[in-house]
Amino acid sequence: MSTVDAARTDRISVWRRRYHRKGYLYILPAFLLFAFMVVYPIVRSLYLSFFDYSIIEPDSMRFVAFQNYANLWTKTANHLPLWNTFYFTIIFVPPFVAFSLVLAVMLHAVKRGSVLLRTMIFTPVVVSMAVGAVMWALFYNPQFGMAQTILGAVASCLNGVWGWFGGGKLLVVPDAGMLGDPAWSMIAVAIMCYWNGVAVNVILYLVGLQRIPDELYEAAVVDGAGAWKRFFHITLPLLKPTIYLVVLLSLIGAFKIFGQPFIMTAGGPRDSTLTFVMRLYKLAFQYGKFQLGYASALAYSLAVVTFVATLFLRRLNRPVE
Amino acid sequence: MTVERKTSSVTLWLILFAIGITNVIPFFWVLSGSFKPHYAIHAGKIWPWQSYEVRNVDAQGKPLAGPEAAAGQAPREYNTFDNYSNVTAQLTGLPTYYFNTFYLAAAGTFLSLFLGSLAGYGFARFKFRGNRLLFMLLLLTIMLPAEVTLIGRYELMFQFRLFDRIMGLLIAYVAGSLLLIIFIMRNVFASIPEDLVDAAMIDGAGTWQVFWDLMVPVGRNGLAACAILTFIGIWNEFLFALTFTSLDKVRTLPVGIYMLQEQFGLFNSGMLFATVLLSFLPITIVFILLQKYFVSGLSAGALKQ
Repeated sequence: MSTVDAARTDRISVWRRRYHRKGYLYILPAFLLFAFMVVYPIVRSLYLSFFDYSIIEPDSMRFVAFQNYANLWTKTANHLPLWNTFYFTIIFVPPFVAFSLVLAVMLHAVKRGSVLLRTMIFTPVVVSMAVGAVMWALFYNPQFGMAQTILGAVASCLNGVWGWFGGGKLLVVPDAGMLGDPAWSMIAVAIMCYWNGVAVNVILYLVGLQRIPDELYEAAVVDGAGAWKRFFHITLPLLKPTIYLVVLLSLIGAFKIFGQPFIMTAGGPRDSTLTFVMRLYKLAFQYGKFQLGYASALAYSLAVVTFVATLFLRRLNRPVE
Repeated sequence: MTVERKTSSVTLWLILFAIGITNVIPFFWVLSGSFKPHYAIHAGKIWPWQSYEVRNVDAQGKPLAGPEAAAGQAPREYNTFDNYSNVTAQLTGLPTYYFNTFYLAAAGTFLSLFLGSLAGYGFARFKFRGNRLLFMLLLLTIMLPAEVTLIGRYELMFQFRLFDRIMGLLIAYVAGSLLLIIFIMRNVFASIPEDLVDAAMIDGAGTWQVFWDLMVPVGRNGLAACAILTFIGIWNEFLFALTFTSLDKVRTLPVGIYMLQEQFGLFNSGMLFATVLLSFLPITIVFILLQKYFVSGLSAGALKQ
């Protein structure tokens, strides 16, 4: 290699280095903001979670190691929010994931007049959570709410049929409304969340369904496979990644449930809808003590649970080798 | 064979139509309730075909026992649009909430799109030292729920006098939306063919020109999806808006309507119905007109996992 060539490669490599260094300039503004409003708060919350700290008495800040985390199990006040969140996840996620899948498969099969159907099914997603919650609180009102009327009709139907067989009352309509009765309140919240969020799932499923090549179905029809067989042997296996994604998003959403019960019931009746994040919020901002350290520990516990769930689902989702 | 197929698709359509109707019934219920006076709503007469006994009402739409009860106010019959005129006359906060929310969503979307696509370009097109490491840092934080930042940000709001300021919420929202935009735009920009960039550079374009005149126009679909996603996210955000504000003038629509529910729920349901309707109507109409773009935006959000 001649010296001229060497000098040339040198010049090029200097130019290249200078060029690539410009990348820092492009990411800098975003990173400054990110460091200020995301990284710092995350680190600060982690730090605070090991302290007994209230913003109104910053001088009495005290290192308590894992005390705040231990409170999660030792303080009985935390058990009900934990259980409520778990209960919500159980009653919300499976139907949410399954119904929206059925809905998406049906929507995918409809060729004509699907614009109207899609508009009707997707519209609730644009209603902001808070507005939807206020709307559904009216809908559940024991005095004039439509949900009460519907539930009443369903109850009289069921009870009528059951009574005909000689049974007692199968379904009792709560006098205080669905939101006012501890046995019903979480179910009522879950129905609102389903209504508000189903479109997101359906859209994700529809994207997944469009990726499945039509030839597979055509081949299956030639082989004489019926609709059920095609669903279980083509649609479900090929949709698996999307299903995992929807399960993951729904799970994370369920763990973090806050606004809907906060607006509709404020955690009542008898704390039956007091969820984990609501407990966090109340500890930090509503009980008047501003226990920011304690609340941070709860936030990090939530992060750990979410993280574990994500890893677990990723593992399940790994393609079989 | 064809006949069988046709009947099954009609059945399918009807089933979906029924599901769709149950989905939109709450909207129509609120719509028709918003035209009824408080006492009719509380008597359960909400649908237009349910008649109620028209009573004389005062200016707020509350029933009057007699002229003397109104303290000099002449009673009159309830008018269909009373709830709306009362909302516009009394709930002076509502336009403020609307303005705040729209301002935050629009400015927040614009800013985070700008900063986010700059960073996405930086990550996608430059091989500087630490590129991967910094990107992994982003990846790590996206796994954490936003609640983890709540306490730290709350303190920051006080330290930097951003509490009860629109600016505080704006900064928090932009920072929160950046991640997803960087992710999506990095993928979009990385998929733009190298030849295009080389051609532009041979023509003498600098990195900024490559970004502004090549990357942004070519990646506009991705940008549109990001814009919709960010806009909806900010428009709906509740927890941070609730925590970082206490004054009426900085309230957003979600927090505002939450507060209104507490104030007016028992005292005048008709007004609450009208307020709820006014809060969802504009965005719903925009959605129905731009449905296609909304759907593509929402599905792009799935990329983040």
